[in-house]
Amino acid sequence: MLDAALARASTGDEAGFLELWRALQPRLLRFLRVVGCDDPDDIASETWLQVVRDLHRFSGGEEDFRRWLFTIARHRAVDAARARSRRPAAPVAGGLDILADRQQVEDQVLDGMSVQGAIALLARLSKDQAEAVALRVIAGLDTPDVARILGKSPGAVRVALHRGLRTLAADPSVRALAGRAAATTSPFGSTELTGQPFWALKEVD
Amino acid sequence: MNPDLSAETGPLEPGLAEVLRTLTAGPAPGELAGERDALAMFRANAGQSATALTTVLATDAPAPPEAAGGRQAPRRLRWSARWAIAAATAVTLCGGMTAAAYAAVLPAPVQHLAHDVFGAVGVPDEQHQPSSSGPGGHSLQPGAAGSRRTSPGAASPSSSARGPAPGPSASASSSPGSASSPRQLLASASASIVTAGSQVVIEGQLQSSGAGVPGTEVTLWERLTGHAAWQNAGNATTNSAGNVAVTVPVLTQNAVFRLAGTGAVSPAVLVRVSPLVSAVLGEGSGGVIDVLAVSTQDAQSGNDVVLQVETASGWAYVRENRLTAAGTTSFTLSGKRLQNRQVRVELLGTLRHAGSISNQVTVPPPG
Repeated sequence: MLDAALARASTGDEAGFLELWRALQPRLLRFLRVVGCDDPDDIASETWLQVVRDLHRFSGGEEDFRRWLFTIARHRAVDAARARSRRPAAPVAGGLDILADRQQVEDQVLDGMSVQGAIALLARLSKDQAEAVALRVIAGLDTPDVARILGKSPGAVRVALHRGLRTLAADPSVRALAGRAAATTSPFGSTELTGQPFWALKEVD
Repeated sequence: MNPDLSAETGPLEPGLAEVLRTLTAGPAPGELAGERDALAMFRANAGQSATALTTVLATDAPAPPEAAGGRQAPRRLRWSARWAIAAATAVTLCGGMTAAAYAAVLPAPVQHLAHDVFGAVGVPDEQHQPSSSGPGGHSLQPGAAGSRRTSPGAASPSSSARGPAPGPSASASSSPGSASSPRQLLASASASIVTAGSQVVIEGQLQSSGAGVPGTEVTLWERLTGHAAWQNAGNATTNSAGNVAVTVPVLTQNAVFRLAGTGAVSPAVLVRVSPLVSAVLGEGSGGVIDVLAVSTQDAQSGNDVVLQVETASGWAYVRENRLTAAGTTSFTLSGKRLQNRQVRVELLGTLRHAGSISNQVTVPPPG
């Protein structure tokens, strides 16, 4: 789907680059939030800078590009975490800490924080599980690619993925969500659910 | 959501499916807020010529404590600032502000901003005085317009070389605005990128009203990327045509150079260093797996190395590793999948060095 845009972007075409950026930037930010970046926008910008810098030498399709993009992003996130660990601890403004409380997470999931709420749910998994789920689901990479990025065997990634998804499914807020989503009417009156989660409808409202 | 996920995990419970669908949904509010900045960054960086500078800017993250000589590492630039840097690079390098910024003649707040943005390529802060911290260690050759002969020890860049600071000093501010004899120093490098350990020659011309100024001592100043301090790299005297050349015999890290003479400071010239990268194929276990051993000098631990395979349409990305402290890393290759294919590795550029590509290796058939 993005192969043509990728080819154009690699020759300096701005429209091609924008198509790539628009398609992947949201997922890049979500991945970085899941892995706990203090400033995902900052890391994402570093990632894109490196991508643009080396794009003219890139050869491959969309799958290769996504793998490359998220590999760089993960490296930058690791670097940032190391740098952070060397610095004195300081309060993090706007990070996922504000979502640490379970009740808050449930409230945000159920009350309209759609993407942020879902990210917060993932971020509560163990690091291995969160990374596996994020790379597999958000980045859309296949298991062997996730294994390569994480430096693990595909089997280990599958185990982490299964456990992570099982933990998510068992989360009370997700279970509640299942019950709410199964309703035929939304909690906002007679609006019919149209396949979207109801909190997405609330955002539209 | 990844379409084959359920094939791998089995049917997803409704609530979980909703969560995963949300994670892969279209942009949420604010997620594309940086589009204009991203486009500006692309415009500033997509070209080869911009790459050199942006490599420095993009990675001019906090210098490692050891490289910073104990000083406090600068704060990480925030996202918007980084985009601004890239965008400003494109815009400003084409305009007259850059020269002014390098010469520290801008109003203090503007100069400070320029320093924040262009510090990596040599724009000083308005309060910053470059330190002539010890001998430059490079040989130089006075006079000899256009000549590149090296004469080690011909002039020690020690006491005599410790003249006024380059651009950041007051001498720079007197250059463009002097009504009596406006002087201009031009500078260029013999190569914008050199192999690690190679020499580079910085040539320049001192002009006054368009004519060369002979017999004037000019100092070459050098700043390693990621470092704040300028060091004296040698002196030379302009010849009858106003030309001067200084040889830096060994360059092992990206560096910014400027020439400074009486009443004039040249723009900064960035020279990048490309480390040599070696790739050697060895046999792994069972004769089916090969190991590509990568080694390099003049790169740092943690630098990214990308394995590439040659395809009909060019070199394709395979995967990425990081250098160890010894400057080595390795990739395991499947002889079955890659037999008779050409592979190579690319060391990605950083603040301290340019990118570099290794020799090519043919993967033999298994067995």
